[in-house]
Amino acid sequence: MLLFLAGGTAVAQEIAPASESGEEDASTESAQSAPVPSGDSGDSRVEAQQEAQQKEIEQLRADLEDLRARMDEEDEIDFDEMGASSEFEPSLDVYGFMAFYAGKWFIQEEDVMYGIMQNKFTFGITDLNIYFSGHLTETISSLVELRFTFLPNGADASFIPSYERVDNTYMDNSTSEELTLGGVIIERAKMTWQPYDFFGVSAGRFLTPFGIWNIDHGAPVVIPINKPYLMLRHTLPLNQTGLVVHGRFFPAASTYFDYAVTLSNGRGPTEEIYDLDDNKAVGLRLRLSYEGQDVGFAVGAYGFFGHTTDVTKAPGFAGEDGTTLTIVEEITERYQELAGSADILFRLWNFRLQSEVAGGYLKYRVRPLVVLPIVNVESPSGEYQPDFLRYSLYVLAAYEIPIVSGDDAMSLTPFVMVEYDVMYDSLPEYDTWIYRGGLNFRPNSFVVLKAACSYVRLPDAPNIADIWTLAGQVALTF
Amino acid sequence: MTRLASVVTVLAFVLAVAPVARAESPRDILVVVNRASTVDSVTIDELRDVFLKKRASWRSGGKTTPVNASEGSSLREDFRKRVLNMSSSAEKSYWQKRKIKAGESRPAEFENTLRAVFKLRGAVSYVYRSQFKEGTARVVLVLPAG
Repeated sequence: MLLFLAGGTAVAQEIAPASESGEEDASTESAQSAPVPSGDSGDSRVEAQQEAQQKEIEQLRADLEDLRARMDEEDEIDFDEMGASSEFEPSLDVYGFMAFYAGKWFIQEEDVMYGIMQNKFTFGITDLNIYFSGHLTETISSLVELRFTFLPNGADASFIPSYERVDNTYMDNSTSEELTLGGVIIERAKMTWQPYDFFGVSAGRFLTPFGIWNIDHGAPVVIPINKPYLMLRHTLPLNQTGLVVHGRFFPAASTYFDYAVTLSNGRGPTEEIYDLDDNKAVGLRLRLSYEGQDVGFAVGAYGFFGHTTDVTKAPGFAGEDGTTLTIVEEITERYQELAGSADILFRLWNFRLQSEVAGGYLKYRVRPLVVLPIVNVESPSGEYQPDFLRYSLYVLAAYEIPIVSGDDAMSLTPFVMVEYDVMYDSLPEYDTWIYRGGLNFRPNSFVVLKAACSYVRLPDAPNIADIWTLAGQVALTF
Repeated sequence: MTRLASVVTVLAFVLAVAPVARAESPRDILVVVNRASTVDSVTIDELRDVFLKKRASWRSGGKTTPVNASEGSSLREDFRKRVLNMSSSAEKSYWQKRKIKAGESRPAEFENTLRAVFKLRGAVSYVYRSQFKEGTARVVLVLPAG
């Protein structure tokens, strides 16, 4: 009915000019076809014809007006039949993104990194994220983002004392087929109540609201292929489980001031589901941005304070007679962490400059044995982990060159990026410089093809040579 | 001299009034809200924020539910140019990023936006003046044609 009436209106609109031009055509045609008048009888015959035509035109106009009036009436009835305005209707959107990778790390064979990093030309699926975004009422929404991975199958499980690889291959008893299991990472699973722009509450698992990369986080959105070290090292926790109070203010046109206060389990081996201590982690995010047509900028900062605890459990006996069975917790690691980040984003027409710095100071109360970096194995010499400071920063510059504008826009985006990473200050030889450069091609808004190379240098590590990488990626939103 | 002064005064008045008394055009875009809405007027900046989901409430209070005209329609294209200042592909790209970053979906689309606004409390949309029917929605902003 709705379509019919919309179409009907269009028809009516088309009828009007048609009748006007029809009037013109009719008079022209009658003038052409009428015989050449001769004398008074000819004049009177022409006048009679004109009078008849005029009546016909007036009748057609009246019919048209009548038709319009009837259509309007029908339209009114239809609007009235719809009754009172209805409320918000719930909706659920399912979508996602994925990325295909091809690349190689060029590492000297005698280097310790050769066996640790990927040293063969390889293909891979690096991202496969699915979203379930629900809008339940005007103020209540939910968001679940799942990241599918082939891990842990194939991961290096240990190097010392002997090499082991995780093998998640199992046989299906009914078919004897060998199947390899992958994993699912719950990136986000949160419900949000947002009664006002300036105040909302989210509960569940959320992305830590720091920086630029952790919010962008999807391969089709971020510009380079590889994550910066401040993301890889988890200088700040990338996700947390708990509560966020957040909101936005509008100090001026196209200007936004955002805040978020986080309260969570913080870090820990089981932080997704339960906390191993009673000290909750707190964080505060502030961000000011201006998003004009040609120019934009944003400055933001996030501060995080929390405690991390790990425990083991063992059976024991308690009570006056020592016969009551208990499970005794023993703390094996506990540290206090003060961490933060700052980020800036500047955009001038198609030029983009962004930078982030993140760092954290870790102070131990219960020290574990030192773990060797990268291979994640306890130090053979058995010393205890000292307090340490770690930080990381990057600067990224990119320029988007439109190839075709308009609805079929394509673009090329060359970029360069420099990173500096201090894994922690008690391991100075692992300070790392990374230089990246590349070119992205976006044939449409759904797909981006990336090519990039990187140069990694650890100037203070005598036993680690410089590393080159070449990579390509196709990222797609669906 | 008095007559000349009168003519000049009249001319000045006509010139001053002329832009204000601009003729209405069927291609004017009327921004409309549901009749139950308490919003009286909106600015283009505010409207842009609402349709890009950078804000979910009006300055004067009340939640917003933006409703777009169907993709590919001339009304949608006109609105995009006049309010969002972006091309169709730029808008698509914007929503791809918003979906990934914030889980935010683009506004719903309707062929007949006036009906959607009539039906849905909190809805805000737009129609050409030629499509508008008095009493079905409240006009909060007029975007002149051209």
